[in-house]
Amino acid sequence: MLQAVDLGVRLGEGATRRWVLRHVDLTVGHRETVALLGPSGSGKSTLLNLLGGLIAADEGAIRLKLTDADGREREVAVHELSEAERVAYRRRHIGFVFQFFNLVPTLTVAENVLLPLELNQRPELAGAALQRLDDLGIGAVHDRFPDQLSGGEQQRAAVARALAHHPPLLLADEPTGNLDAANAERVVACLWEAAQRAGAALVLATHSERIAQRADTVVALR
Amino acid sequence: MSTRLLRRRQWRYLARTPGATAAAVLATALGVASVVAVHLVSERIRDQVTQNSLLAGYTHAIRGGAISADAYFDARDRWRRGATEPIAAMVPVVEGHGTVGGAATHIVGIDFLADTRADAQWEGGSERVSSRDGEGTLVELLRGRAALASTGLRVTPGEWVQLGTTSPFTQIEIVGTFEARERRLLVDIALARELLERHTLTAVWLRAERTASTLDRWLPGSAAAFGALAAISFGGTGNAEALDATEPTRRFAQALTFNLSALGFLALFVAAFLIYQASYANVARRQRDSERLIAIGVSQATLRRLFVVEGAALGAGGGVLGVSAGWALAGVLIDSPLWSNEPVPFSTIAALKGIIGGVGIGALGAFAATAGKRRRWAAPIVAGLATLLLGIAATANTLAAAFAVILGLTGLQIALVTPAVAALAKRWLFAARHPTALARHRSRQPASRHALVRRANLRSLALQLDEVSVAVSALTIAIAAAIGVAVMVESFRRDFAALLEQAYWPGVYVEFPAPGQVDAPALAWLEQLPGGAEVRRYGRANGLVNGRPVRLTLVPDDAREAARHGHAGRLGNAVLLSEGGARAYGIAAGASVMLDGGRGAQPAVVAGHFREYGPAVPGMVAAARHWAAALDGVAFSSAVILPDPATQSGADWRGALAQAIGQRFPNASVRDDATLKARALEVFDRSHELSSRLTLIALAVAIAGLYTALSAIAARRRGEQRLLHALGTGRRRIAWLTVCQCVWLGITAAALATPLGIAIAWALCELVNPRAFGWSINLVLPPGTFAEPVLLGIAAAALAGLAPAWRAMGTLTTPPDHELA
Repeated sequence: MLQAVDLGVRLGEGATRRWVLRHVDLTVGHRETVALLGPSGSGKSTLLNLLGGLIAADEGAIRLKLTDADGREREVAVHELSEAERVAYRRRHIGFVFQFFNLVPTLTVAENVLLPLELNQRPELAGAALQRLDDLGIGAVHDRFPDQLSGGEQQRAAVARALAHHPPLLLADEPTGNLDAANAERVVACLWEAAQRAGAALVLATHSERIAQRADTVVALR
Repeated sequence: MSTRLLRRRQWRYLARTPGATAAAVLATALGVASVVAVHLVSERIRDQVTQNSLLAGYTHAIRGGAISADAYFDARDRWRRGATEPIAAMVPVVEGHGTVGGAATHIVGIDFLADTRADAQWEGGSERVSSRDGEGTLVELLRGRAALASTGLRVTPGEWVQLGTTSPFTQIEIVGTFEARERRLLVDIALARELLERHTLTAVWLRAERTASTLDRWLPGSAAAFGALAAISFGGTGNAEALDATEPTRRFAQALTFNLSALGFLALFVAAFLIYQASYANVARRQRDSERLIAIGVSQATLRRLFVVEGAALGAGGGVLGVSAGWALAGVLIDSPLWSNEPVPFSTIAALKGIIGGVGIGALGAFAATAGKRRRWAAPIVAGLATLLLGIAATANTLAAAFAVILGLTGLQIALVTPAVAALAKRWLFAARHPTALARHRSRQPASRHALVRRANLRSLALQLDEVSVAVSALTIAIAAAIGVAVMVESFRRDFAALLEQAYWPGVYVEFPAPGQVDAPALAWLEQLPGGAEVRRYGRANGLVNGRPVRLTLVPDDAREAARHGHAGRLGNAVLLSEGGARAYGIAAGASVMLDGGRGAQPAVVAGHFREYGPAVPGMVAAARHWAAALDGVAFSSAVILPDPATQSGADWRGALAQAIGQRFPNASVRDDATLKARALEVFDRSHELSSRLTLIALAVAIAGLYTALSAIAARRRGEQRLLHALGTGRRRIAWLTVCQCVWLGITAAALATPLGIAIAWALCELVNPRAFGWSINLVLPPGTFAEPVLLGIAAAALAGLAPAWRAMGTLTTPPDHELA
């Protein structure tokens, strides 16, 4: 479904500009879960940002194969997209879960979950999106603001928000890095289950081998 | 403890945040510039109005029309015995009106020997008095039949002028001239006594050692605000009244300069708010940094001292810039027909005032910002002080009290209204948190792609209102001041236009420059011009009402003429006094007064008051038939030709009339009523440009502060903005959201400012103008008047948000780390 070939990206300004990733290949199949494993600074987050179109690659190609509502297949060449097109690509096809600052602090949990639907003009998915809050065990706190939730609740709300618009690809960047072991386990279970239920592929960056073991494929970055 | 590294860290921080540093310096500079510019303009007005005044340098006067020699010597004896407060000089004066070259001229005789400083006062080097020989003291020059002539007389040193209306004329040699628009001759007291045939003194001028000059030098016009010097008692001889209170020109100039100073301080006040805002944002931004320093042993007091030094340094920079800008600005502001547009001289006091003001508000702002979290009791204290101020102001009748009302209202707005509105807005914006929210969401059909983003944006703004409240308050005050001044000027303009409509006959006006007169042959010639139905002739003279100066206009004695001045029925023996004169001299309608026109005081009844704007010396209207003979030096110098409605009276007729009169009387000025009204309105508009420019400066200061506040909150929202960007919100949309926040702040400030602006306009019309100038203004509230300041405020707020919005777009491209913050 997703194919990244010979990816490379440089970050920094002027003399400090350096290659953060180079010659990286990655293939993610339909509904596949891929764990990016590596120490801090190995480029896990950068790779996720490249796949999500948050930053543009300096070299290489990223292609995403999609199936339209009428069953026809098409391919998006992410590396060729303009800034505005990458914004639309993220909005329609990607679900993000980050380590911190996952939720808009001035929207309630329910509003956060409805946000991608509103941006995509998909109101018909609202019922299912809010139902997912119940499924994830946070239906009772739907009208609370993020600062009134625990860390685990915030991450589960982020999972619900990431899947609300039925993206084919879910990108999670250290989603449990800020949680204790029990909560981390619960969030990971939610993430896996929700991705499977939604039929989305999952690419997860982590430095935890235990979490990585759950994935179909583990890609080690150094 | 050495703070070298701490200081280095601080200066590096300022260098790394050039936008915020420049905004802080700019806000101070603009505030200081307005104060300095106003100070310089005020000095110019004061110098021009008061130094050219005959009474320049004198503080008090004993008046009464006829002061006997006994009374004078009694007063002098009391002074010499030390029975009065210290007086530097006491000068006997004989003054009155005579006819010089056929026109009424004020003749003033002074005993120069009685005042050792009189020479310095009058000669003022070579600028104000120019004599034929260029040398010699006044005592030496004014010997025999010699006089100094005002420039209004248009004579040159060495010329001889004729005094009197019939032969034999008295010949007077002009030995020098001095700057003054009025027709005036200054002579030795002995010559005045002879020329005016007066055997008593008309006044005694005094120079008290106690003066209000120190305060007035630093705060021009302060005498008008806080009341004049007290009168000096001479027991049985009477009182010497303070000229600041009684001399109309001086009162007018002081009131004008005080009003300008108040507007100038408005900008500094707004700047002080903003320095505090900038310092607060600065301290908040560096909080983590400060906590680290405290953790390694730096004391809170040391950090505070460093912030205060930094604030003072920024204030000093702003002060120096502001002094230079203020000096340049004064040149622009002075470009008015109302006063001379000579280059503005440098003023040490203005420069010191600017730099001290800049350093002071910089240091105080930083001190207040580091004094910990804003206390809960700050608002009640400000509200209490504002209420107290309003209470005190209600009991006083001074100009300062009128401005205290404005300050009190502003304080209440800041302490009560703004926080209340912020709390309500916050409550309303977060109202979605009720139990039925989920049900509502389930059935919700999102109406717009960005409705939730906009809601988040507004809520984010509401959450940060506390941080931007000072900037919003400053913008509110600036917009309110702009509304207040605009409404006052518009109300004033309407009254003025209505007055012009009432005061001018629809016809052609002919004005003869002195010594020209509309004498009987000229009147007959004007009456035979085709198309004219009637010619009305007007005279002018100067006089004293109850010993105080008035400008008399002599009019035909009929009901139509009285109606032009708002009075029903013919005047007969009665007179009308201007509203300003009535207030200044305490003369009510129906009061009996003594009117002295130079031929002895005569009783008169003040039948009513009429509106008059502008002249410092109060006006009086009297019927020529009854009063011309009782006044000295009456000049019938103008006439109006009223058209015959039955014949052609349009532009062609007026043009033909002007041409015919121009040929017959080449020196006469011929203008129709429409031209005169248009010119009067033009002068009115230009004279109020200064106020408008000053309110614009205050607005500019507010915008600089708003920029600082917005930069601070935009920096804090960066994480949220990156998240929205990751979710598929475009960069332009995010920048637009930042601008929208600014527009909302502008709208909030404008909404809060509108009622305050109306209150300020009311105070200006009902309190400030009557107390400062003696005239009242009917307050009108045309919606169009609000539109400009309100739209300007909102547009300026949006402008302040452009840079933070641009920066927000830029930071979105920065690669996010795990944490999007």
